Amino acid sequence: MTAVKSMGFFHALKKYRAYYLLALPGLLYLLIFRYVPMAGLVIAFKDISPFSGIQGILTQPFVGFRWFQKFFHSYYFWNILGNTIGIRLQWILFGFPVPIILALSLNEVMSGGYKRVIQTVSYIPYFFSSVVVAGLVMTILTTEGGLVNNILRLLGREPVMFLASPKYFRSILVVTYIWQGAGWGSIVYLAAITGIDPQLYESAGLDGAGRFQKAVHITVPCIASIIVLLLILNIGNLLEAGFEIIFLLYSEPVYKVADVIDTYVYRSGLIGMQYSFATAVGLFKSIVAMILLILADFTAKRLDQPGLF
Amino acid sequence: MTNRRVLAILIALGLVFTATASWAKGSTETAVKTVPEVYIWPQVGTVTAQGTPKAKLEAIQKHLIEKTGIKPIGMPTDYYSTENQTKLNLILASRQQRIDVFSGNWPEYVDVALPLNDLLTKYGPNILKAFSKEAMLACTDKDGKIIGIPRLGVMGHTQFTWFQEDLLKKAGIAIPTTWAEIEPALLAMRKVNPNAMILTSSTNDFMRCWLGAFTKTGFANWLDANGKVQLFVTADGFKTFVATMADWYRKGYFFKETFIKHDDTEVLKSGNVGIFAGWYSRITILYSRLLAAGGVTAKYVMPDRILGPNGPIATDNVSNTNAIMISKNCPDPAAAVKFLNWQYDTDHPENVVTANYGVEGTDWAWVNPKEKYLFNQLTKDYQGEFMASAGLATDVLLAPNTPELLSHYTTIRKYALNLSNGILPFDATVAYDGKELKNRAPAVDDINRMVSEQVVQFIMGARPMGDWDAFLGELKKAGYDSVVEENTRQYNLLKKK
Amino acid sequence: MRKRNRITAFDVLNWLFLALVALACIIPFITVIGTSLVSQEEWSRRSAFVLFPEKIDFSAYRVLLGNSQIVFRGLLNSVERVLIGTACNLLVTITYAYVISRKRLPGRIFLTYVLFFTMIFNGGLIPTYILVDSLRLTNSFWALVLPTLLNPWWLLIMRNFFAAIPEEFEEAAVIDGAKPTMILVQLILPMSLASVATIGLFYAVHHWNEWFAAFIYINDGQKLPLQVILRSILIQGLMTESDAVVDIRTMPPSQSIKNALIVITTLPILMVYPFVQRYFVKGVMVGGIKG
Repeated sequence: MTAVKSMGFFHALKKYRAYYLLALPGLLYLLIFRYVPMAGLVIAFKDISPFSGIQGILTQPFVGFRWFQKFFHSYYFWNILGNTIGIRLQWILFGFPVPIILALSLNEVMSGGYKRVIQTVSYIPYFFSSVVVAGLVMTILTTEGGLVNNILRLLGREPVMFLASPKYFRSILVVTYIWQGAGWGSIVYLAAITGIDPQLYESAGLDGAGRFQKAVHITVPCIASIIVLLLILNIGNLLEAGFEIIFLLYSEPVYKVADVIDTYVYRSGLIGMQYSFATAVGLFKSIVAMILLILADFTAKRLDQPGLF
Repeated sequence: MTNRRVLAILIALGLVFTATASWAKGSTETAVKTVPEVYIWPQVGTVTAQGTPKAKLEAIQKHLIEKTGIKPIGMPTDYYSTENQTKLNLILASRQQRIDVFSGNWPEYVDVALPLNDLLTKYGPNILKAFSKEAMLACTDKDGKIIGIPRLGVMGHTQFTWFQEDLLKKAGIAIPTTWAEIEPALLAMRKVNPNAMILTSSTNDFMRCWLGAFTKTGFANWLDANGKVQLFVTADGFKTFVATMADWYRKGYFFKETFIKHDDTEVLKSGNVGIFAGWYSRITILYSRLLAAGGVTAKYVMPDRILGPNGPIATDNVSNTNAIMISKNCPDPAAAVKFLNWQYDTDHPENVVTANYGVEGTDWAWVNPKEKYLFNQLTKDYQGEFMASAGLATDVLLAPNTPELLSHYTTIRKYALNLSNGILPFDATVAYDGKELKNRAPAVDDINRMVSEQVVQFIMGARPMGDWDAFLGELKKAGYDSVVEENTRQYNLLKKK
Repeated sequence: MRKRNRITAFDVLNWLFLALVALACIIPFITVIGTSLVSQEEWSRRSAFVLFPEKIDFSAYRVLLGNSQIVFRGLLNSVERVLIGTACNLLVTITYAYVISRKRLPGRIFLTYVLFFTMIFNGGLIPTYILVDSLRLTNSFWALVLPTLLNPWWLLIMRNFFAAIPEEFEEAAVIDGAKPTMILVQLILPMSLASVATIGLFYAVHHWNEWFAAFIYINDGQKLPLQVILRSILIQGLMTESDAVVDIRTMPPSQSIKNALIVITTLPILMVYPFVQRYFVKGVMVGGIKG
């Protein structure tokens, strides 16, 4: 393909029309099913009942930033913002590397059978419903005969009400997320690893590199494009801390560390009464996500890594 | 590649399948439109997403056309799914699909519900007869328009205090009927079973059960000397309540995890629950299943009411705004009201049973035809899609003849409408507009969190009672006064109708 | 495959680590299976989760799968959805990802931005529903496929995979006069089996598990996918223990139904996955770079 700058718009359109035609189905989908409903974001600046339908959305009066003010002026605004970011950061720090390590580890296994079995078993937790996961967590952590507290008693320690403890709650949450997602998350890295040229390993081996060194200095850099992409996307999602499991496990004693944006909005009631409010909060999250994504992408480019664009 | 060819064939087959399926559906639209129709959103829990089998459904539909001259059309959906209301709201918002009769919290649906005053006068005499003035008022807006037909109206309370009968007997004490007897009862139970404890359902349930023992106004708003509507948290005696409960928690009277997420079933199985204060169905339904399955043997008993120094310790539920409504987009509201009216006929309770359970004789039959109350269900296929009158008014007319449900229905009949077992809030008949409240006093969500969060912190000992005044200060900082102002404004506006 | 003659300490540690991971995953799963086989009577005595039931009781499975007609139809609907849905997803995703992976294509950045904004900004449930309803797609199969035809995250992943293929291959084909579609199909795809398999798996599992869209868009009981039907039965089971009154149907404890649901959902995936794993091989290099 020749340089772009010298080409006019319509000339390019004609020359590369085969490519644009290929992209057309996706583009049509995005325009129709994503951009058209986006017009509904205007609800964030209105006070509407959802039942007024399309006419209502278009004709009802603007209320400006009322919902944003309600959100920002909430007594607990900084608390829930802090919780959301805190939980998410904790997950990124401890949870993001786990699928990568798992993929690397699986890759080092030579026996195809063992590798397949472990890999298959590892993603089973992904299919557990949130309700059952929460039930399992409650069962393991309860003071009345729960596994963890039984062990503590054996060791002569006092039983701990983990789900009531602001100290432990977030860690429990993050461990649960990791447990649920690591196996399934490793699939994409394993797929990326298949694209690595085996010759790289051989020449490194000739240079005297050990297994561990090969994994760190060859495998990881070769799948860097995927790692960085997913890292950027995860950072962009900084304000998503998960909802279901928090909702099923949290209670008043841990609100101050576990009440996140989504649970806060949920408790204020959704559709019907607070629809506009929920949309406004969602819009806030979106704008923050956009800023973070652009920043993360910029940082990645600075570090010579492929970014989002 | 063979794989691709297989895939292509599968895709082609699938497309053909879908095309023929939708085409086949379209060809059955030959119904003659002389019979008026009513589209009903399900109101009973037996309706599922699969719906009643087609043949059965059509048979019952035909029967109802014969009886009422109106053709009901139901919508299969999982009534108990948390997403069920979401689906209803989406359909109402979109307006492409027809729903005539639905239910929900009427203040949320004001924009889409049809005012019923004239329609009820003309076509709905039975409906008007079935409800008290207060119940009707609870579903009327400030301009006097009746927005919906009440489902619950003003009722008593459904949170009760239960005691484990075995432990009471072994301890040799009678069922407590006063507040003062409760702590000694627990202590006596503990002599028999050192692990005996108190279990609660939600914090709100437990306060509804017991707060009346400490405050005159119980778990409800109270009117202060300046005519302002205050929340229960500032009532005289609330601090004592929290302090006493904190003391009890420290002494180990409560199940340690009762205020955090726990599995009620597991706790009940242990046999250590001496006292349960909370939502009735944990015992009437959940625990009965444990009993029936044989894993536990102890029974729970409940006094009609428990009296404290100020009267009953329980608080009645404020007027309920759950109502059956008719959509503004309904093309034939007269038919809808007529269909509803037929079900509210108290002289003919078989009408509502027919709508709910099917054809008399085939699907159900009275146990005693002279006394039309108990009935036996004979078939189970029909899910009740055409039942449009669900609610207390009709619930109290009849009872299915099964042990579990019988206890549930008799509880409802005996207690639910009986207001004297609990404190009646002074603003019981005022239908506060929750939406306006959130618009004008946006701090209300924060106050709700603060109250429930701090009450639990105090009771569990995470915060010392000495901090109480600091807590009241925090309430003010979070906007407590704005909530009081708005509540008062609405109360003054709505109290005289 | 690299050849090794001796087992090093690294290998042993690696095996141990993986064995621990596997245990952490399989023990809960065995617990779930065990709990799904618990009878009413045993449930009323023992704890919430049971590793090994005293008596194996299939009533939870009987309740969920018992009405074979309904369940079979639900299964058919689900399979149809998985097959056709995934095919459509892949079609749209592969083409768009390929186009935006061509580094020197004018308009590539624009198309990527178009995608990017949809990842962040979402109109919400009501506008989307109104759109689908206005297009008369409600209660149709396509309501389950079209609104989520493209997942931007997965598309970007696929784009990165495509971009990783050395440009020389494509340039050689262009010189030979090949059209982009042909290049995609005959050159890029065979080299991207792993990524296509991965993203295809993601879409397929989404279609298999997904129930919310089906619940809100489909009104006809005959068209419901399996997940909605099973959840429906589960909810009835849950409600018999909660604050509701249902008909006289003695159901197995809802706890065993909840767990049986997981088993029923997971088993087909466990069976299908080995076939997908086959594609996790290095892409076949077609021809050479020169000539």
